[in-house]
Amino acid sequence: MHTTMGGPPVRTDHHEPEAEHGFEAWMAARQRRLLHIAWLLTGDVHTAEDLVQTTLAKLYLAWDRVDRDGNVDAYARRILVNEHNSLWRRPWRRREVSTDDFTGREPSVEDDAYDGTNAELWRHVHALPRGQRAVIVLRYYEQLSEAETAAALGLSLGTVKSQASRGIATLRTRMAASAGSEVER
Amino acid sequence: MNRSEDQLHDDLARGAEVFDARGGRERTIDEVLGTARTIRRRRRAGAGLVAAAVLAAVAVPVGLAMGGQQTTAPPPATTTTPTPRPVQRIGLGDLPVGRTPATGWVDAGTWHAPDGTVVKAPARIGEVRAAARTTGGVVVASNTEGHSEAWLLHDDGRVDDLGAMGSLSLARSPQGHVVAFAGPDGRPIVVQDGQAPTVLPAVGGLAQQAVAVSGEQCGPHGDCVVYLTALDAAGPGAQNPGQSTWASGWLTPTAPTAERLRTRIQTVADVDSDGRRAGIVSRFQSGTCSEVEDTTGRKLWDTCTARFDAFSPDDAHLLGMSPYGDGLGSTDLTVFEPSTGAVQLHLRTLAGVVITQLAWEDDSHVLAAVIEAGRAAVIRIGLDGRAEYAVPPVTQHDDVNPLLLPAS
Repeated sequence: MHTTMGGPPVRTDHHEPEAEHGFEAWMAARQRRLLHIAWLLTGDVHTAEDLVQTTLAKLYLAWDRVDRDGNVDAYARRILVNEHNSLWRRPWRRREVSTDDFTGREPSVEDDAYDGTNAELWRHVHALPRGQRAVIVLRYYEQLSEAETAAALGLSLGTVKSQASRGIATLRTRMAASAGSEVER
Repeated sequence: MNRSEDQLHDDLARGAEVFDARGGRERTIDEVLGTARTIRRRRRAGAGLVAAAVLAAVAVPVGLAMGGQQTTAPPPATTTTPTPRPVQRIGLGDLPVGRTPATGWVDAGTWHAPDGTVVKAPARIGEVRAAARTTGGVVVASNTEGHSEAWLLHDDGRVDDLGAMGSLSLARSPQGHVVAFAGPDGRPIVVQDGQAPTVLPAVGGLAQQAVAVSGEQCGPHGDCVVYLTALDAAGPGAQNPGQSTWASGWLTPTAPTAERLRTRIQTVADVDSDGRRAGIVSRFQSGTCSEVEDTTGRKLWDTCTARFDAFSPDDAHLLGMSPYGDGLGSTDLTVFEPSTGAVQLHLRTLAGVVITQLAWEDDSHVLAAVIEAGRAAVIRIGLDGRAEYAVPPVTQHDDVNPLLLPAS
């Protein structure tokens, strides 16, 4: 237990070599996954990279505590989501994001991972409200449980359920509408 | 997961791989450590500057303590309450337990009124995210199924739905007769003495949140002024919406009006009774810069070592927290003299301890809602640097503090 009665400073940002090695190993194993989550949340390559770099840096600074507490993935996801929300609140960030934002742009032909339905779905996911999109990404891409999603986003279980339900319903409706307009053409 | 959910996962996974196809790359350990060093340097630089200023201002809190400010606080609840203890850092250690918060507090959706009345919010209200004490009860802002809603919990147990909110932010007049918030259409809404809400005319922009209220009476013969942060008329759908600060309310004796303030402040934290404003003027990668302005918009002083929270009830002090925001909370607390920026008190948290909320309890005491590894508490901190528990530690999960303090 910490004490507030003075003594030597307890807070430290220095890590022992072993701890630093632990962080590096975790980063090597998990960074790609974080980047993919960030990409799904932001739709912008550079913003996703910056988001993950800041997330990893803050994780590193808190590594002693996080590693001790034992749920590094959950903590990293939470930092990532909080950072994303923080970016979204900054007007200058919103301007940057728009330069590579999927919502205003058709998938390009060189995006070879895109194909018909998938590209359509991707656009619709990105058109979801920010909160619903985060729930959809964590729940169905990251495959977290409802409780884990609620914890990562700081929402109640009921809110996660309703946001997921609404997000899925919206995607179904928009996919159906897209299919209909495709047929009409 | 059922079949369609599996399909959605597969589609999202293919979408995620586009990141790689577009040249997205992993950051190296050196890049990450470089960013960590930058963040660390800024945090330490901020703490160092503040610490130096504390030395220069050390006589101020001592003078306050010796000057009898302590007597203005309500007496301890019991005669066995130990004396608050001087602290160098904030943490959930072996602190004495003092009286409960004079402002009241919310614990996991249950309102604890200052007089000891306990009102449990009905389940339909959802998750309580902000609160403001008012006449005969408390206004709470809640998140229900993704919607923000304001409610009035009366001390007698009645619950009134005050309508939808544009953001989960409440502002309160000094005596608590008026609580204000922004409606979903960007119009300011005021609640006078727990009565039905009044919607004011729209300001010249989309009001995002109410940040302060001066005056205790809203109405044709009232004196209330609600300060709001608003998106400029272009609105939230515009490419580059700018923020501005407005004053709305009974600026004239008879009809509600609105006035855009001349200010450099992007996000106002608080406005004192003389009209001085405190808030954020710029943001950078890992922090913010803030300033205090007089009523004409002239800068009185600025700092990049703290974000402001609120003026004390007597406007003699200004509360600040960490300038950076990593989403969990603050790791330090600073009390400034509002006119000059002189530091009157500065305390950091122990490692792993985060302040999730700060509020003034009275002119000389700050309440800090704090979390640390599965526990949460409210700590009362005097301007003399002495601390005690106002709400002793309770269980906490996932960085969410179940303890919520009403707006001061």
